[in-house]
Amino acid sequence: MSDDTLHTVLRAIDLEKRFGSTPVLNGLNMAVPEGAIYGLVGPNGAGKSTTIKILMNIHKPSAGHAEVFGGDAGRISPRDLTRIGYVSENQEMPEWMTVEYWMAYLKPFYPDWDDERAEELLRQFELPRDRKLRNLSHGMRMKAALASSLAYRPRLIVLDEPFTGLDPLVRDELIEGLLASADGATVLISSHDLAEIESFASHIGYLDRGRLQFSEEMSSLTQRFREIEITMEGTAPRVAEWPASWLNVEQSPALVRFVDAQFEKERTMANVQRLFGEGRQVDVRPMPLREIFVTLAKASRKAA
Amino acid sequence: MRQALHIFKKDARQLRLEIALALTVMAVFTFIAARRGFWLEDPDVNRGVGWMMAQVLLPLAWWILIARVVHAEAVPGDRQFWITRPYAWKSLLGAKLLFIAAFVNLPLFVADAIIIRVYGFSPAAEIAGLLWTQILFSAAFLLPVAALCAVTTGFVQLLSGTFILFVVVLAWNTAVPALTIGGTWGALDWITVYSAILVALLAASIILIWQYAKRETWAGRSIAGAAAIAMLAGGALIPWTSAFAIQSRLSKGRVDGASMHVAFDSDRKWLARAGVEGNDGRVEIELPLRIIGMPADMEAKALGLVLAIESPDGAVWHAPGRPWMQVSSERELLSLRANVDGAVYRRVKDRPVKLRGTLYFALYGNRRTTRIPFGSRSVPAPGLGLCSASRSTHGGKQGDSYFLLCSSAFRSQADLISVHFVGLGKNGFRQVSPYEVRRRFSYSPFPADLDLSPVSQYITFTTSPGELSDAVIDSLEPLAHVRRDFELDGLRLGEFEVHPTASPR
Repeated sequence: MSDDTLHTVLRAIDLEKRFGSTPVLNGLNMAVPEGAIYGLVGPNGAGKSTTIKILMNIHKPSAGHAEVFGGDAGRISPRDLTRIGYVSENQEMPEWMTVEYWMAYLKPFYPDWDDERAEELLRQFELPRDRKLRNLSHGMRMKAALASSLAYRPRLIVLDEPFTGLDPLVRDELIEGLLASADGATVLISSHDLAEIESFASHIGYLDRGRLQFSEEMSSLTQRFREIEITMEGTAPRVAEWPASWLNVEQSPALVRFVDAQFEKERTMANVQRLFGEGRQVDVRPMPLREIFVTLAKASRKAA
Repeated sequence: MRQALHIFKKDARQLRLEIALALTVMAVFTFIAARRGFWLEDPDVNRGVGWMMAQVLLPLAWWILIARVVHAEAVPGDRQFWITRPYAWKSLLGAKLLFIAAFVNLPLFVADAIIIRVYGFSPAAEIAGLLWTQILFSAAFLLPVAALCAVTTGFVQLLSGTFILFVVVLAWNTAVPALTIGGTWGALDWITVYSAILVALLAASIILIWQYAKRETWAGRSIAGAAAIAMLAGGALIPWTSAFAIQSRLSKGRVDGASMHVAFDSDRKWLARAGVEGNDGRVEIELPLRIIGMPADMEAKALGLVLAIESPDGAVWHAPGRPWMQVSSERELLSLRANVDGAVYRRVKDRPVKLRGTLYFALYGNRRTTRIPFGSRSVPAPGLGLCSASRSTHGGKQGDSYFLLCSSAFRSQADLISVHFVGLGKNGFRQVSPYEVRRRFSYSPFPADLDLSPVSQYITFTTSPGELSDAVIDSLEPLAHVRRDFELDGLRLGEFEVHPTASPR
């Protein structure tokens, strides 16, 4: 077993899933390292929830293999589940239970249930103990679900679109609660909205049409993407073939604009020099995550 | 076990209203069932509609309760809270079964014990019937309903599934009415009923274990569909002769029947007839038979007959009728009955033919007589249970009415019974045969029948101008089930030919 395997909490290998004749995942490969806060992002219908449900053994893959804590996800045991906290935006809850009974009911299932932490979470999320789950707002329900999934100090926290439909205030409260209680746990969080997770994710995976387009640490991602604009003094020469890492290239007689997905100052400048020679001005601009993803989505669709 | 109890307590708390409803219906059912026994003594009590409603409402209340508890942690689907919590499937299934045992089986057990106690039976003495009733209801109803609930997510799906199964059963019964489970073989019906229950139990057990362990709903639903078909086909396609063979093996008495054989009853030759029916030439043959060499003090009751006619040229025609419809018996008088194809009959009617057949019959013995004075209550009578004889005086020309009401706990008996009322008035000894009331009759070796009511009743009565003193019950218990092959050689069927009389215009 390699070091990489040892420190990977979640792994998908050539994962495929079809619902009837509709393919949802097409050979997905993904690894979530231990201790990471891994944001799985992608447009609606990309396959994020399906991936998470296969990892949680809620769905069976059509082909390929998924692993949790190094074991087959299809054989995930109740013992494994005592170390996993799972919250999903569309999860059904026992509506008839009060918040207090909900917490009390779950407690015996978890040997590591921490009463103090449970109390703290209820206080932090300002959850009304005697109110039935059916009478809670969507935001409050998500808080109740998260509180019940953090009270036993899980080693893996899986959140499937947890912020959908929440107002920014509640979302921030949930993130705050999550980060305060994560305690070095591995977190996998899916979202179709980058803004929700870019502030705290350590790793990012971009899923589109059932394939992981890339997966890397947030810091390296933001470092390697740059928007570059070249202003020519005269007319720009016609280029037969652009470098492969240049995406969404737009060219007018005196202006060339593109995104370099593998930005390294020396190499990029060498390419610019090679293609356009002297007599131009080069502007290099770092990109916010949202723009990186828009660029990737456009490039991906163009390639398809 | 601790987790199962924890889930059970949660379910009991969540479903307290449904539990209260089911227990209330059970209490009403118990009250009505316990009062039914005395209607002859208390004719003003009108429990007909109430009893019918209780019999419908009770299974409905159970159905709702089971659906609610199973759907509290629905198995199919991908959104339920529990599937990502550390539930052990054995604990979850155990909790659901414990719930059914606690809130359906246990109340039913208590209710049955109360009802039979009211009817005069001792629950301790009837413990086998009490327990077997629980097993039967669990196998035939509770577990199949739980299994159906385990492959559905809510009431809408459950109703749809139940409706589909209902349509399958209805279509089967319409398409092949002759193969309907139960209702055709009389005392042997229990074999098809039990085979269907066995299939239901097996399928329900497989579905429950499969669903809770694997959560592969389409496989569970496929098993449910296959089980419905197997239950109908398997239960109904058991050949009657195989059912009789099973019954023979289960017979409690060992009778030396080596000397018994079946012969044409020439003393009753005048009963033989070959009735030509209508233009299609179909011929209904009726021949008197006799069992020779019967052990002393025994009676035979013919249950079925298989027949083939062999003509002198060697051609053989097999009677297509069902065995149980090709013979009738009235005490020692047996009659072979077969519908012979017109062409076959015309070919052989004037030639000596050989009738090859097999007679299937039950032997009864151990005769016992019970005398119950009118006005007596709860007198044990073999074959009928506890009997009460009563007289209703209303004067007039027709005289008084005399009743005999017997109750048996959990199952109907298979004894041959004859009842008559006797009296010694000023004109000497009188014996009156009361109205014959059809009673349920089963050779089942098990201590209970599948019936919601734990007590089955037998009622007979008569009106007599003269005073009667006692009801007398003669009973013979079934000792053995025997098959005998026979040959009737040299019969000319044309000799017995009769034609229908033309109807007057």
